[in-house]
Amino acid sequence: MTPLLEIRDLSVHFPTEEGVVKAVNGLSHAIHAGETIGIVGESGSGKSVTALAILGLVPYPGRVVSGSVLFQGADLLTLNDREMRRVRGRRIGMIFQEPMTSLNPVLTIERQLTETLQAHLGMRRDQARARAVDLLDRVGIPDPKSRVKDHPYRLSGGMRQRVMIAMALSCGPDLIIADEPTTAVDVTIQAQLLDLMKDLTREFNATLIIISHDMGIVARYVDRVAIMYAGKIVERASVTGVFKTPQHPYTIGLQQSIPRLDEERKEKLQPIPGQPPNLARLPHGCAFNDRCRYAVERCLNEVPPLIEVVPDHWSACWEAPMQAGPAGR
Amino acid sequence: MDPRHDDDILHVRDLKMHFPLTGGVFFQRPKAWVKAVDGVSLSIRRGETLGLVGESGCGKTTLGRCILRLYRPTAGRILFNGHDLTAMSSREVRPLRRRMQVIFQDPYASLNPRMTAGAIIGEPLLIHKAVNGKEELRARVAELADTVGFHPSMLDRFPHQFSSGQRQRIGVARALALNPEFIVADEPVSALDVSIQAQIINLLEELQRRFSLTYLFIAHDLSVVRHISDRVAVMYLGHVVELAKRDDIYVNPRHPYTQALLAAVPIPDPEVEATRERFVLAGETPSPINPPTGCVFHPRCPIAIERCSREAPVLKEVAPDHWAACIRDPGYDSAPTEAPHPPPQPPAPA
Repeated sequence: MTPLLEIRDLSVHFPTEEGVVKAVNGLSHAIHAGETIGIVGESGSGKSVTALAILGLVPYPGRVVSGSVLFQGADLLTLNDREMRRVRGRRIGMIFQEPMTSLNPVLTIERQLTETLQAHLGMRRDQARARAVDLLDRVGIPDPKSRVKDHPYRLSGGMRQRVMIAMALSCGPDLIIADEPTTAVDVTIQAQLLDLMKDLTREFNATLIIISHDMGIVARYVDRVAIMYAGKIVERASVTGVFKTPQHPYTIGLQQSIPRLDEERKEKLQPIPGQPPNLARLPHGCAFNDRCRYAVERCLNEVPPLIEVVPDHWSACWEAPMQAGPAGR
Repeated sequence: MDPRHDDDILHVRDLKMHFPLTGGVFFQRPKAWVKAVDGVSLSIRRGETLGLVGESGCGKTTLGRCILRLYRPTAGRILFNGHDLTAMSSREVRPLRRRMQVIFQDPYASLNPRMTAGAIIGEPLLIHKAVNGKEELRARVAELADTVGFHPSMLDRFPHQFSSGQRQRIGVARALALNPEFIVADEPVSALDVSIQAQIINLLEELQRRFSLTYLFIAHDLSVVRHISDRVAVMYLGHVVELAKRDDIYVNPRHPYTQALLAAVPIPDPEVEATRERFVLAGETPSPINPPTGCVFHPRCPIAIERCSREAPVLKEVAPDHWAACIRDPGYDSAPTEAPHPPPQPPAPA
């Protein structure tokens, strides 16, 4: 089966005073239609830049230096601006972290929704208006007929994010990329929004990519997970595989370092030592080698490739597979 | 919390903090009031960590700032080691400030970018004249740096040269400088990456043991709070709705808001998530300017009855050492009705 989206050997670099920041560093990933995909990583891991690269939105001075992004038979990286605009919003919907900065503050919700519908689907104004109200209703905005006339500042953070969801779905895209969609909202609102996104993407027959730093969200909402570290995917598997039999030392470290809501207190948390790497001065070999308690000589010299250590479970570690079993311990 | 615990470091009684919303150009008259904290009573036991949780706008940060007397509360009393902070002038509070310190959320915003790490850590020592001479200052700052796992050779650098985890260590060292007894930690790890959070949490726990510190740990991350706290208070719209020992509140939450809050937190385990009972709270938090009548939670509460819209519940001991403000709790009506927080007699002036 051809994947819906296939990223091959993607690299995105940002020249800085300190040197070239390799935000995404040779990343490959395939996403199949109908799956919900989680991309997990900490700040600076390259997860957001990957999303921006797919959408052709890497900010200056960043540049895609290599790779391809195949989506429905075309390489998105070779499209010109005009062609790309027909993909963005129409075939790929986006939901960003901060709805206040992604919505235009001086335009009404109606104007922003109808603009997309008219531009992409060629709807007439009255059709688009009716559809906008319908969409707001679908995302659970009370009294949509009057709220559609409001400006974004009149809505709460949760309501604004519902508008973003409506906008992302408005043209019936095949893929929706949600980058930290609930990081700016409270936990009870987060549950409402993620439930809504998951239900609606299924209903609209779209594929959902959730980018998050929150392992709990990933465990609850996605089918397959990619763990990113320093611009690369270091582990990739089903959600059960990643949580029950993690293979990469970074994934194992993450799971051991976070306290759990449903567990009695452990004596002490086991943090990952050290700091995330400086992307302009990555260590030789594996980027995780200076924080890794399993590191061996080879890790200091050679970059480990992402290999399939057990069926459909990939890990980029010279010492993989780690012992199977809960959290690899 | 109650008469059985006379070794409380802090008592908060009926505390209210209302902020005015002003209107008009010349005569700034309050048009309305934001009831950020609206009648909170609780106590903190010496040596414990009291976790204070709630969503944004529930008043948890305002409560912390009132306790530090960074705000002057509208009403109510705060007794720190028996001293009534609300009755004191700013000058009178100052000596007490040495004994209560704060760690802020954002290690970027809370450190002066033009001061070196060493100057930041040493500043409270100078302000409170806690050291004699430069040599003593330098030695004490180096000692503090070492205590928080910060290499003394880095003390001449500026905040922007550090990672967020190292910055937060500077903030912790500054808070420790004057040997406080009590520290308000306001979201101390929420700006940090997951892999760094555990380092700072372990550090805070180690320091608590070493220096017999009492913490008020304000956070919205319920998993972190379960790990670090001895008791947990849950706030909603300016009120404490539940307060209990850590495992009591997580295993057997009694207030419907606490139940909803805990159910909303995803657990990093797909098997647990697949079988977990889902309970998603509808609606959003109402405005603290015009809070609902009766129980402030009743418009969103799945078990609210008519009485909830009329009667404001008080925090009652519905089970041993487990306090909840919900009239639907089976223990509510039979719980003692007297105020759970006997105001300690104000001591002789310090």
